[in-house]
Amino acid sequence: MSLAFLYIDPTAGGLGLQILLTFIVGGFVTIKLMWARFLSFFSFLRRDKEPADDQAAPATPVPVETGED
Amino acid sequence: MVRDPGSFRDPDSGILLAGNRVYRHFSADAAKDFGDLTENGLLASFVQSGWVIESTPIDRGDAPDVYAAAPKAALIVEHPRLPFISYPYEWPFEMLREAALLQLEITLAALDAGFMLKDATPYNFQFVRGKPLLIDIGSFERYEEGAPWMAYTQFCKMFFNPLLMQAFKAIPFQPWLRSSLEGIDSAHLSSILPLRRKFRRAVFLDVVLQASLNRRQSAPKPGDEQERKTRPIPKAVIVGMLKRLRGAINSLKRRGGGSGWLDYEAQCPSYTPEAIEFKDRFVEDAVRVAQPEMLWDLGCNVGRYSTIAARHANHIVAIDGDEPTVGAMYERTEAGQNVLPLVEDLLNPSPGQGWAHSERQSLESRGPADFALSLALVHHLAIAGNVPLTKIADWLASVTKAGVVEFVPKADPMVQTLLRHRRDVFGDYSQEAFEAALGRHFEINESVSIPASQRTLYRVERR
Repeated sequence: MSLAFLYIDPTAGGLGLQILLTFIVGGFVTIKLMWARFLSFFSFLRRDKEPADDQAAPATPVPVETGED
Repeated sequence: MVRDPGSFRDPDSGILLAGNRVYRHFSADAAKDFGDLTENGLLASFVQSGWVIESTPIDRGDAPDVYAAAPKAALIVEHPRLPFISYPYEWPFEMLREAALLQLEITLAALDAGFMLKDATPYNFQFVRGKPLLIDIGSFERYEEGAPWMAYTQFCKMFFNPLLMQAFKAIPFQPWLRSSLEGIDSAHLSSILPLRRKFRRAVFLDVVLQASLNRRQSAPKPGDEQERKTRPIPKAVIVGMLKRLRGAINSLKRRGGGSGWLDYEAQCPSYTPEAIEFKDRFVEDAVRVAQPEMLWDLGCNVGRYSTIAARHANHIVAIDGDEPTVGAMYERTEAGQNVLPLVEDLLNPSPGQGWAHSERQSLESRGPADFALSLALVHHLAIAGNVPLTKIADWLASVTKAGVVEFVPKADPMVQTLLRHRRDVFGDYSQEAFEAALGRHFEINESVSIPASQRTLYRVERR
């Protein structure tokens, strides 16, 4: 064991854990953001294709009529 | 004016004692934090909730002698004096758990208002009328965005790990906390926990992983410290940790809760219902006449006589060596009742310890009580503990000024039970010898035989 080990702040593990949790939480947030971007990209594509889809059979169930017409 | 011998670690704040008055001094920085805490109403709301002790700022002009005792103080406040200071190694599981939950609640509320607590130790709490109370208002400081929860490891060592040890391994934490005033290390706890417990989320993160990170920490290199300081910890991470610990502690239940002493009163063959009624009345009359400010119930069991005494004494400290019994007593004590239950082996009571043997006081130096109940105790000390009757009387005289003492002779079924598996080497154990031993220190004002038993009650007063 290194002599310096004996002089380490006893809260080092606690701080290390908080840093680790920050990375994990940061990682999750990043993944969530990227996933949201990924979904919004495809929803953008879907919106672009909507006029063409009008002529073809809808791939997804037709939205329920709201009666606003 | 003296400095409290247990209050010296925080350079920004400390306690001064003057007779019955208690003061806290603050440095300029700490006084600013206190001012902010008062200004935004947080301190008042904590005090109103009964979470934090009251503090009344003292003007320098009104109390120059108090300020003279702490020349560097920028501010001094006065706290109400608490009747008795107890320590976490004297609390049963239930009391430490309640203090831990309050520490987390206060930290969460403080964080929400832009404050943090610089430490997290049960020594910052006292139990008043059955509830924990934070007494260290010097613990509050302004929260700095990105700062880690510096007291996290301390919280684990002082609160979480002792509770886990008792809940998962049925090992009482009191003897361990009594010798290790800094708490139980995560690495030590991790090494005794069974594998299946280690996969619980809070145990894995806060015990196993923390211990592992501590172990793996390599020798610090130049620049490491700076890097650690500049790596911000989001507030959301700290709030998540606090809530995770709160959830984990809320779900902890004691193990090792069974004890023969819990049913002692119902099963003791030495008393008929009439005898119990007689003893209740004798004790109540004695306490009513004495009207003590502080009463100690030595060997209190589940607190029958503490509850009776509480009608006439201002403060009761109820002491018993059986931890599950004291835990049950704490749970049964009505909210607001002036009874403080403590775990204490009277054959080996809390010593003076910590720095210079004075940081944490011995049981004896926190007395003497004005009145003590020593009911069905002497035969345990004398026969189970081999303490001579003269030494028992000497000790009683050192811890109380007056009281009610019960003598249980050898012929009593409970003493016979104690003697069943051992040789009777207690030739000196007799009523006459006990009265002579008591008489060396106390005036025996009254002695009565309990009906339908061979037991005797004495009402005594120290000479």
